[in-house]
Amino acid sequence: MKPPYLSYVSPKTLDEAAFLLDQDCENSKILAGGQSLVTMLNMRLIHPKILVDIKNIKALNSINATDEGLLIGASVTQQELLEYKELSIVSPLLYKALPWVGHYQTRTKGTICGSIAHADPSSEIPLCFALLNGKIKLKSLKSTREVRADEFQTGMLSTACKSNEIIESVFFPHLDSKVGIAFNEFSFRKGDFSLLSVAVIYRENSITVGITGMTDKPDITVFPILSDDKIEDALNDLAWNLKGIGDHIASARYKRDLLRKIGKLTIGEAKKCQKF
Amino acid sequence: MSKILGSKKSISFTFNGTKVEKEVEPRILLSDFIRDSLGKTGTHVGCEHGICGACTIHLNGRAVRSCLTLAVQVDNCEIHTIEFISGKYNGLNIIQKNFKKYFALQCGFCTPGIIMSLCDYLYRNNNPSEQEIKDVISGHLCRCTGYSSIIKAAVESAKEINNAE
Ligand SMILES: Cc1cc2nc3c(=O)[nH]c(=O)nc-3n(C[C@H](O)[C@H](O)[C@H](O)COP(=O)(O)OP(=O)(O)OC[C@H]3O[C@@H](n4cnc5c(N)ncnc54)[C@H](O)[C@@H]3O)c2cc1C
Ligand code: FES
Ligand code: FES
Repeated sequence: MKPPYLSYVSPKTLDEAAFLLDQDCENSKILAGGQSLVTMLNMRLIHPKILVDIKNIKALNSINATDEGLLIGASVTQQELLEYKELSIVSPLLYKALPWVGHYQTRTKGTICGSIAHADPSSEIPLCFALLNGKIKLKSLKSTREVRADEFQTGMLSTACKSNEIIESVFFPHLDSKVGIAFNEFSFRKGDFSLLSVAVIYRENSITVGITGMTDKPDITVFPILSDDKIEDALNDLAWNLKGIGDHIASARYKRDLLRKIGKLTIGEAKKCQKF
Repeated sequence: MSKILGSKKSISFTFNGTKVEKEVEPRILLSDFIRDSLGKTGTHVGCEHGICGACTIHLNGRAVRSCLTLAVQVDNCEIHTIEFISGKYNGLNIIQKNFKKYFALQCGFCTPGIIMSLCDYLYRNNNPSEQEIKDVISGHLCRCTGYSSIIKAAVESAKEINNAE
């Protein structure tokens, strides 16, 4: 349960970090909050030779609310965002989802971007990112590019971020203030990774449902406005169509049941708070 | 960049109010560094993957897991451990007194971590609800008490801290 031998660098600028990463990118890893990375090191699941810590890069520690949305730098922690003034107004979805991410003591270090980079299939932040179809900014030594959420997460723990790229920031677009938003999840202990999470955006003419826990990445489905019994049918179809697989914690059948129940509950909550 | 894998780095930080300057291998966890190099064993180590909370300390005033932090990362930072809490309050502080009053510990293995979490959270937030307090405690495993005495001690402490402010 101890990390393997490694070297550590903590550059002060993003350019320097991109340069250092480029030196030996296949054997290097970006270190953000360490809440997943150090765990993997402790378990010796990964053996990077060099860790490039981004904590000293001041430019990455910013939260900016613009007219279009919320721009969050790579070193902003989950707790910093949760305590950001008016988060409940600027991004009601993140405001509702973040308290479910780990524990207070892991949110104080774990970053927003690190969670998206890690791409755990049951994570809440990648779910919000996918549901809002946000954008991520990637920086390498020679270029900068933006990737939309629907092209970013490619599967379990895998993304479009190349080994020589650093996530510089993530952008979550604003929603119409009239839409209804709700988030729920189920885990055996509050703060543990969820068995199933559901996030819903209830619009005038559609209901967008995001789910994690069924497949290897967030699944986004758009329904028309449906009556309550039709919603049950639609969720039942969705539960089967996603072809979720069981694991050592919950069977596929149990997960389908969770989807039907939590799905209905969450759509109901989102419907209640929409203002159309 | 250090060319030899694992070669030591010098770090300097404030530990419980005192400046510390040491050489450390990059792979050393802060929890081990505190216990083995600084000799302060109040910070306990249970799981080393962030689950149990026994190793919780304050990094720049915030409760974090020292087992998920490398010692090299705390260069120029401020660290406080359970030893500081007792020193600062010249005996037991409000939270510790309530732990004693409500029998919120048995073997005591989980206790330093929980006290560190509560010392951050309860002094930072006015009037937290019982549910909020439970959420903070959910970041810790206790194999003895069954939690209800810990929750009572924490709720009572929150009230006293609020009244004192
Ligand atoms: C006890 C416990 C419970 C948890 N529960 C939950 C939970 O319920 N839900 C949840 O979503 N998460 C949970 N987590 C994980 C936590 O949210 C992590 O914080 C998060 O997954 C990773 O963020 P980090 O900043 O710690 O990244 P790190 O651990 O530092 O990095 C994770 C990975 O992302 C890469 N990376 C990080 N930042 C960048 C970047 N800027 N550019 C490129 N690559 C980057 C790293 O190289 C590494 O591969 C839990 C963790 C613990 C210890
Ligand atoms: S030892 Fe750090 S959380 Fe268990
Ligand atoms: S008192 Fe023994 S583990 Fe909590």
